[in-house]
Amino acid sequence: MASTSFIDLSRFQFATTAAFHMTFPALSVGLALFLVICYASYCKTDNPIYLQMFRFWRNIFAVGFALGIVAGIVLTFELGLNWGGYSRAVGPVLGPIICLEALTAFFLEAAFIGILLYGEGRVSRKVTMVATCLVALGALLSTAWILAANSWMQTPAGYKEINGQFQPTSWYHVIFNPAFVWRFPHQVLAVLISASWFIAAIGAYYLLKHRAAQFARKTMSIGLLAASLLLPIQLYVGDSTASYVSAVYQPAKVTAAEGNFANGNTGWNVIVIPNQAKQRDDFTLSIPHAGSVFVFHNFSGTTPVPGLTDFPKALQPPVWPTFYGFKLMIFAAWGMFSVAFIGLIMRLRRRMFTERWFLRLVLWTMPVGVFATIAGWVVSESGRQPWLVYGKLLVANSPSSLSTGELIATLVAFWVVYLVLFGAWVRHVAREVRKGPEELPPNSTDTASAGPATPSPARPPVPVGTE
Amino acid sequence: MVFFWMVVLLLALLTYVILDGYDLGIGTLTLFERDGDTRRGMLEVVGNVWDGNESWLILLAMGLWAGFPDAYATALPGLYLPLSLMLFALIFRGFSIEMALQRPGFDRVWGRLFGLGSLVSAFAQGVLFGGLLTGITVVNHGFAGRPWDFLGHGYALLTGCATVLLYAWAGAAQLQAKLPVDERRGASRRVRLLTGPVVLVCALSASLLPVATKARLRLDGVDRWLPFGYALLIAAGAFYVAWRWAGRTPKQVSFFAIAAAEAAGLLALVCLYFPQLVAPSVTIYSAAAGRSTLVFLAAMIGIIGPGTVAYGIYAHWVFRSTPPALNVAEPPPAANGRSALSPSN
Ligand code: HDD
Ligand code: HEM
Ligand code: HEM
Repeated sequence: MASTSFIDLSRFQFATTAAFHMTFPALSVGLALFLVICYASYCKTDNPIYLQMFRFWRNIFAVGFALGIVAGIVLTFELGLNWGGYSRAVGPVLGPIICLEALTAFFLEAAFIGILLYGEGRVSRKVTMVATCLVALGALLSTAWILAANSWMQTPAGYKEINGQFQPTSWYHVIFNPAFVWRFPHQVLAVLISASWFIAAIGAYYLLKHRAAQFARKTMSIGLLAASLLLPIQLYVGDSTASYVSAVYQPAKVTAAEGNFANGNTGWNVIVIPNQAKQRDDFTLSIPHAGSVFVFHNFSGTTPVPGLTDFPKALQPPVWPTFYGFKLMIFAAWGMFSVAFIGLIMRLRRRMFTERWFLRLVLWTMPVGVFATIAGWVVSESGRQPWLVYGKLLVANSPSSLSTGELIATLVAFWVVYLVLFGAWVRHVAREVRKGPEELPPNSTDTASAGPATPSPARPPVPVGTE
Repeated sequence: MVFFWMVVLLLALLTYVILDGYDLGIGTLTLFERDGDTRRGMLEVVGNVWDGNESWLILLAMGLWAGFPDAYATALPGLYLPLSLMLFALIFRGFSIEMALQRPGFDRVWGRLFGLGSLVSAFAQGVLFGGLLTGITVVNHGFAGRPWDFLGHGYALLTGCATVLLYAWAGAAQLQAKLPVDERRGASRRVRLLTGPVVLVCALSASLLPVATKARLRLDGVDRWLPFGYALLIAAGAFYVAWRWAGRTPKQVSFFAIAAAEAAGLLALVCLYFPQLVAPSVTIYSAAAGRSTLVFLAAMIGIIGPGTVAYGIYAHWVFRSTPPALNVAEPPPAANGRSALSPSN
């Protein structure tokens, strides 16, 4: 059997590569929908500003999308590379789901992304519109399938165990497992919020720099509007996820997320220094009675929040990542909600585009949505520990028999490669943003005229062949 | 059912090798192309299709996982190092091509990284294929060999080189069909030039296989040697056609001939190996998932597969030629006073 430190290394590798992957879908799913909005508005109004927005965001979208793809391919292989025991056991159930993801989502995205990115000039507007919609649809489908797979690991259903393998008995129950129903909308909202915030922040940047004013206003309005509509729904869905899914199926996860070891605390912990070895918190700072309100919706604030000591020590999830992941997500949610709310009020008083402190606030909180999304995954994954398939398959029984050297070599390589690529991606986005959206044609809204047309910085002419 | 799913996976493997084979090959060839404009053209040929082509790799991997979990759980750890190398190379490649295409002209850094990533991916794929052919030690449903076993005393290095050459050959044939005419000539020359070395390494790998492998290769029974014989004949014919049609019209013939040769090679291997999947001990029957999984997969492929293939073909069709066809709806994405509007073909 593999040693604990070997398993921890393997987990660390999976967690970091998954978080890296997650960063990009968190932006590209929302950006894909945003591109749909821009292009649809352009087709409808013929206003070139929308074409300008479409082209600008498309260039940012393209590279992030590519990174998402290659990082995603890594994850699917890692399941077999590092977790051979796991892939043998769950293959019959989860394999088909990811196959379906490939068939319905990846191929769809892949086929039409080419047209979306490079089709301008080859295909009609209508085809570009359809391609953009299909890419967005693919991204959403992909979210659905991966959430179905991951949720099955959280609340397995519709299978029987034969020979150490899970064999499906009801595909309906496998896919629509109890956790999926809440976690899928939660995830969709999460990625949409992340992207909206990112978009709004870029709009704020141009407003601060007094550049491309019309573009900036539209961009920021759409971003903030989307965020302020989605956040309240997310607060509700997130709360339901906690009380319908985690509390019922994975009580240990909620307990770890609340950070109590002992029973009897009715407060809501803001800071804890957990000491899992001694089974107590070395320090807690909590808001009295609030825990009872948040967790049980008991407004008298008297129901105590359960503690981890209810569970055997060997089956407790780690408190550090679960607790702080949860806090980060919640604070990010409330933080974004407040800022969006302030924005709404200022918008109504027509001051939103000029208040510099507000614009700066939005700009500097640009990655908050993405952080919340990753933090959310840390909660759901580390709160599932020590199980891989909750209640059925322990992480300890799942790794491949590899040499530690192989594992360390790839871990280091992943970190180096990912840091370099992440740096390059950030530089690319910064460059595109500094360069700004391409100039609008000075004359008119008539974009169909050949004229001296808008030069797209990204796609210079290809030498033309004559045959 | 088990047999059916094996055929589906073989078709996925074949499609992957044909499609991503040519785009990895084109990537490799950018390293040897001196003319900047041509290199840029080569990047654009790949830019529109690499994502779709790589989706076949995912389908292949996930199909293997779903249909034959034991094979997935043993082959991947057994091929850990070459697979990881391939993943790293694919990461660099996918990222750098988008970066390169976002910049005007031929971007040195990202363009070169793209070429290098393609070369290394192709090599790693050949190595891991070689490792799979020579056999993987499996005990009790788990990989039980050592990290460097896949090398098979160097046999995998040979298949690595063979794959690089084969892909480059397919890439050149594809370029011959897609580049503008005045840039086509170089590609045709490469198709002709590469034929010899490809035949040589393929023949060498084939004849060393019986010595290098731990698998039990069989050609007894007419259902094995007859298709095997046909496969060899087809491959020989296809090699000849690919070489003969280099630089002639119709310009796609070479590429399709190479695809036929790849199909024939795969068929020959299946005749030799069947039913071993992760040779020598894991067979398609011992590794297969339960009936409910296989039936579900087959139904899904039947329902969704045709649509997937149809729009995949459409996406290739839109980009059937560089440069852009007549633009009707948008301001051209690029215009420097030169006409980017003239139709080609
Ligand atoms: C919120 C949604 C979401 C989540 C939680 C995940 N992904 Fe993902 N994934 C996407 C949303 C997405 C996407 C937005 O749809 C991507 C990004 C770029 C793309 O083509 O699709 C994608 C790409 C992508 C690809 C490449 C697809 C292609 O070539 O087109 C693979 C193989 C995976 N993912 C696999 C995974 C695995 C194994 C995950 C779990 C650990 C995972 N994804 C989490
Ligand atoms: C107050 C509001 C929120 C509450 C109460 C909440 C609650 C939860 C809970 C309980 C989980 C764990 C689900 C499980 O594994 O069983 C979770 C996961 C997650 N949360 Fe939240 N959440 C909130 C807001 C947000 C926001 C604003 C975002 C991102 C913008 C977000 C992103 C995520 C993600 C990505 C996951 C992991 C995927 C999943 O398990 O569905 N959450 N959330
Ligand atoms: C992008 C989404 C995901 C993120 C960010 C993520 C994050 C994590 C984290 C943080 C861990 C480590 C938990 C710990 O050690 O405390 C982990 C482990 C793991 N997750 Fe995920 N996860 C994601 C989705 C998935 C999905 C969809 C699957 C399977 C289909 C999966 C399979 C695993 C496996 C096999 C491990 C290793 C064993 C374990 O520690 O549980 N994860 N992941």
